[in-house]
Amino acid sequence: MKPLVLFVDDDDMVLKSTRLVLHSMRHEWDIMFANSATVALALMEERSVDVLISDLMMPGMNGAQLLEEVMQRYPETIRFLVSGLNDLDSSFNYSSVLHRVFEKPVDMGVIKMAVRAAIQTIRSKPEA
Amino acid sequence: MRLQGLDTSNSSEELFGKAFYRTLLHAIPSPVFVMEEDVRIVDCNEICQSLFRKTGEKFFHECVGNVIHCLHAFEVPEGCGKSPACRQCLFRGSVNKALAGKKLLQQPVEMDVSVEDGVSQMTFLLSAVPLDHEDHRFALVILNDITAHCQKENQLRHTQKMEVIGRLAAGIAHEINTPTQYIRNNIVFLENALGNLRQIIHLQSETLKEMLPPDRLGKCEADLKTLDMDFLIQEIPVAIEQSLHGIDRVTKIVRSVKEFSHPDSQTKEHADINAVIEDALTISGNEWNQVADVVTHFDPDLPSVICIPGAISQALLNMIVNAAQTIAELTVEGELGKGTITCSTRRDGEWVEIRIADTGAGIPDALRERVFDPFFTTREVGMGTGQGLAIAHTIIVQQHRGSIVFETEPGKGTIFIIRLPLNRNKEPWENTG
Repeated sequence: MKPLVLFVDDDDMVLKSTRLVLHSMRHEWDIMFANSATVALALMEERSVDVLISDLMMPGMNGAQLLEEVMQRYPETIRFLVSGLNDLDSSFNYSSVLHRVFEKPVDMGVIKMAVRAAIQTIRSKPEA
Repeated sequence: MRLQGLDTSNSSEELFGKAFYRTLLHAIPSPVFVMEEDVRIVDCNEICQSLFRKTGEKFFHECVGNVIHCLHAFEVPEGCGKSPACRQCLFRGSVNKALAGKKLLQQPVEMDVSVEDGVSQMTFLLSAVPLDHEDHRFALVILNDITAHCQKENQLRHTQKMEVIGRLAAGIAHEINTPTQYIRNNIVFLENALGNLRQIIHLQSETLKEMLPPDRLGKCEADLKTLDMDFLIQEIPVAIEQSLHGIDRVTKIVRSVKEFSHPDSQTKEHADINAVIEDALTISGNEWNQVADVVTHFDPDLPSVICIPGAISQALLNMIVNAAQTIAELTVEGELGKGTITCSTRRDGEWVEIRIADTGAGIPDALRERVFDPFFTTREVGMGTGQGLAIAHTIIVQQHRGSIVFETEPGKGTIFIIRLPLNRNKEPWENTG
């Protein structure tokens, strides 16, 4: 089965355009989209996600809280955060809950490479 | 404490007489002078000499405007009391009121006091009280210099204003991120899609060539020509590339605004000084692009510096704006051709050196010591706050333990040399001010 990537952003235009630009990767991985942390967590109950990419600033549960929750529930999932950087809360220990942070607006080429590298890391791990 | 029942016949005035008057006058740590009709000086204390342009007793019986050169006195040598501009002069007005018998206490007045070749704006609390002696009325004037206090207040206000602007800018920068993200995604998608489309078109045309009889193929090719097929294939990638370039520029501008206005900009971090200068140049583009070309000579191997990037960016921005203003003055806002601002970086031992050179008028000898004084400006009133280089100095010297000096040659320009310590083996500073 192909690896599964979940992309979370509260802005529909960002989701739609990301779907377009990542369409070319469909042979390498499957991708799902969620417009809130709640929707993302519901999707993750159904299917196991290999790489999670979330925007930071979202109404309700924000991206950092989502990654923290995912770290506890699904520690195997690789967790990326997309942030404007100046919206980072200095009291929050981001490095403990995420693998990488990308500055928004992020070059999708960079995301492709990062996801590919993450999948390779997962693959190279001996089966438990 | 002999306030109650003070026996006036036994007062110190009686005891000490003239000596008391002279001692008291000279002991007061503020300029005090006595003036008569026509705003002429009849007596003053020693401290006045530092304020008045003339020394010794030469200023007695002079009009006050001849010794304190306030702004309008530059245009009218007779100074206070003689020129029409003096009618609005708060200073003269107060003295005249005192001469008319009215008491005026602690009236704030701003004066542009001349110092050598420059002008220094000073703020005083002016008190003028009538002083009757025999048949004559004089005005006793006391000036309380509150310039330093006002400067501090203004600097604080300026800092607060910059903080508000910073927060506002950071908010806007943040809002722009999201649309920038999807515009960029869509352009990249179009770029990739176009690559595929070209292959599709190529495949189809090859297939058509094989399948269609020559007459149908000829018509088909003619139709494609009227639809500007070749033009589209050639120009669409150009349009896409330009859009991508544009959105990258927007991103760069937003990033530099963010850098400049970072609300947590008081934290020290490793920063690429070359990038910080690029940011400052991007933000200040409006200030210089009409009057100057910018040349950069960056050391590509420059080590990162532990600093507050937002603060360094502000300091450099102020210096670039200053360079642009100097050039603008010399070239009459660029009408006499553009000048050049050269920014260069290099490593010098345990220091990183930044040079900002302009091709402006240079700094005259007499003004060199005052360049970094807050509120010292050679610009027309309302043009410069006189704060820019002072703030830069504070950031570089006090906040970052660096140094800032300049080399200047009248008519050729000025080079500001900023040195920042690498601090590689040191703890972060105990206090960043």
